Amino acid sequence: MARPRSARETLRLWVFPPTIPETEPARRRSRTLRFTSIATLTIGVVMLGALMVAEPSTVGRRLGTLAVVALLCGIAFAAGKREQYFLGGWILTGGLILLVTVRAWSLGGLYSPVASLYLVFVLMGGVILGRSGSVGIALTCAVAATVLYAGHRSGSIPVPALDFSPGGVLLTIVMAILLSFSLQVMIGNTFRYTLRRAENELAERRVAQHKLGERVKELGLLHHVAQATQRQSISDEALLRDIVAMMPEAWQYPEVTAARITLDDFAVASPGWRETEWMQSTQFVSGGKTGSISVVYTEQRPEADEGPFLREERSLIDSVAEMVVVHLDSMRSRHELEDLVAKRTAELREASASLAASLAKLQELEALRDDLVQMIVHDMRGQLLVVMANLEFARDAVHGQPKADINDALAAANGVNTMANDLLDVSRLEEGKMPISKEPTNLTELVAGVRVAVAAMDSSRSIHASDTLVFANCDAALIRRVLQNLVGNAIKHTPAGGTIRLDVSLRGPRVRVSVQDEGPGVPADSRDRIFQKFSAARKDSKYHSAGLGLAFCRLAVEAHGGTIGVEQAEPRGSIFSFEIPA
Amino acid sequence: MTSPDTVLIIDDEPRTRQAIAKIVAGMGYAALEAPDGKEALRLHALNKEAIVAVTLNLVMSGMNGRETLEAFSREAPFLPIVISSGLEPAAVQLSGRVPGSPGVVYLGKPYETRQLQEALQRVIGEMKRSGGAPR
Repeated sequence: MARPRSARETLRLWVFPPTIPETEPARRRSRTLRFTSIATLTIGVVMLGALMVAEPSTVGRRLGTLAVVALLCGIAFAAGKREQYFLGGWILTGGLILLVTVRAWSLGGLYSPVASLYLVFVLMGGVILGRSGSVGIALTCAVAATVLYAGHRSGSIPVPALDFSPGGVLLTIVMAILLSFSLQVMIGNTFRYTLRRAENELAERRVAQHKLGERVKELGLLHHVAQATQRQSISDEALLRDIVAMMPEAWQYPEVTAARITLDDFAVASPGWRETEWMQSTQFVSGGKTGSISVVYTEQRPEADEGPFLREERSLIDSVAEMVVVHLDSMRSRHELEDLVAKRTAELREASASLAASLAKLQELEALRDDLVQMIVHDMRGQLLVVMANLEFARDAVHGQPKADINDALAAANGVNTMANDLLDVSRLEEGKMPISKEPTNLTELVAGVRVAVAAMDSSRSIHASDTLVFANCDAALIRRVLQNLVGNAIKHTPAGGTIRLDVSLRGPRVRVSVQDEGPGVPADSRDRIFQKFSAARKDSKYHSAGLGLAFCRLAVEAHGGTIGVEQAEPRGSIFSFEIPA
Repeated sequence: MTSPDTVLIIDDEPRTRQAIAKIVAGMGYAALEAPDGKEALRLHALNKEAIVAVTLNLVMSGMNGRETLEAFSREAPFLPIVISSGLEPAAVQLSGRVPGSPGVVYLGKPYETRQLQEALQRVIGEMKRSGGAPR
């Protein structure tokens, strides 16, 4: 919005107008100069000739004047030829002012009719030199008039006798009129020229604007297509339908434009579609499918680059096709991937169902096995009671070797009982059904108790136990059985005369109990396996028990949140040890 | 007639009953044997005065040990009982005079002669001390 100007600003602009760039080309001004030179010379010749005829007494003077005018016009014309319109303009106008002033000096000064020609020269200066030139010429004229005035004042110029003939004055006036007319013609030409130029510029601008609008529409379409293709969830058909609906608007004559996209058997078109002779098409291929995009004008439109279509519209339709192909390709890959994922998921689901069924079957079998174990152990215990009681009766009735034999049999019966207990406990520990009742326990005492019990039954191996006092919060009965198992194992693998060492120690927040034997040791690759059920470290192994003892130990220790393991002892044997929280 | 102090042995396994009978004989008691709870209750009813204690198996055909324990808890609340079973104590749900009550202990099979003798002495002793002994 324009800011209102202050009075001072207005005055400043009036005195010092803003510099307006000289838009008129030098060529045109030079042409004006040449035209002015010819017009001036023609008028001068005609008018001075007429004056010479009308006033034969002035022929000499008039001829001199004509010669000067001709010279000035010649120079100006030559300058105009060289596009030196400024120099030529000044020479012509300035020369004429000087000529008129000199003539006026001798012909009555300001009273002379030729003085009126100053007015014409200002106009001439304006036409040739532009605004700044006309100011210069006006000032020159003013100076010349002032000189004449000074001449009058000083008496140098005699008061005119007013002996001008009316015909001479008329001719001078006519000359001024003709000069003014020719100048007016030139001014008019300049105006028309300027106007035409402005009109041309405006027209060019309109064309540029129109073209810009077209480009914006085309970019808009590309943007919409890009956005549509970004939507992963859209089906191919829906996408093509969207695009075809957006297309006509992007062409130069949307009101007569229709579009169609085909993809194999599928075709979708915008309203008003029909094949016409004004059609633009492009083909594309995606994943074995062939497609086309076509645009028609339903009415004739002016010829452009490709029929009535623009070069840019060709790029546009090709770009749309390219974007469609990229989208179709990516969607196809995506669908293939999804299909693959779905297939794999189904396979996994199937595998998982099959696993679940297997698991259920296994659990059923496990439950059956547990019931069986319970039953067998229960019945075994009943039978063992009979065996052991009868052995005791028999033992009490005999002496000597038979008594020792019966004691062996009793020990074996006890061993069977231990195995039965292990079997049951392993089963219960695995199921997490074994109740663990933890209480502060003197482990040193517990170890010593086991040592004494074992030593009483086996005198052929020496058993040592450390006496470091260590307590742990544990299920004493369960840990005792773990220790009994480990010691029993050690006795089994230590040759007669060997030594077994029991050790208890505190390890930070945990306690460690270890049993070292002098057996053959456990191969490194079997050290984890021997704690599994029914495993034997070696085929020829002396680890020939049902394999439940160590499994029981592991489960019992783990039920306490502890760990169990075996390592090689030096120089021979194994160290079985477990750690549980203190 | 004064009957000798008798222990009533309730077990469905004849050899077990015989073995227990020998053990109690070693303690100076006579033995009465019943293969199930029903027979045991009948024998007890007939020999209330003589029977000083009972050994009771739990898993039996016919009237089982759990039901028998409930029946004795009602009919002979002061009778010393040793439950003699191959089941894990934690695996059985008993009602009435459960193990730990005065005059009732649980003894897991198999056991040594000495252990049963100690158990019997203990329950009989407990009942005597509580003043509820039948005799």
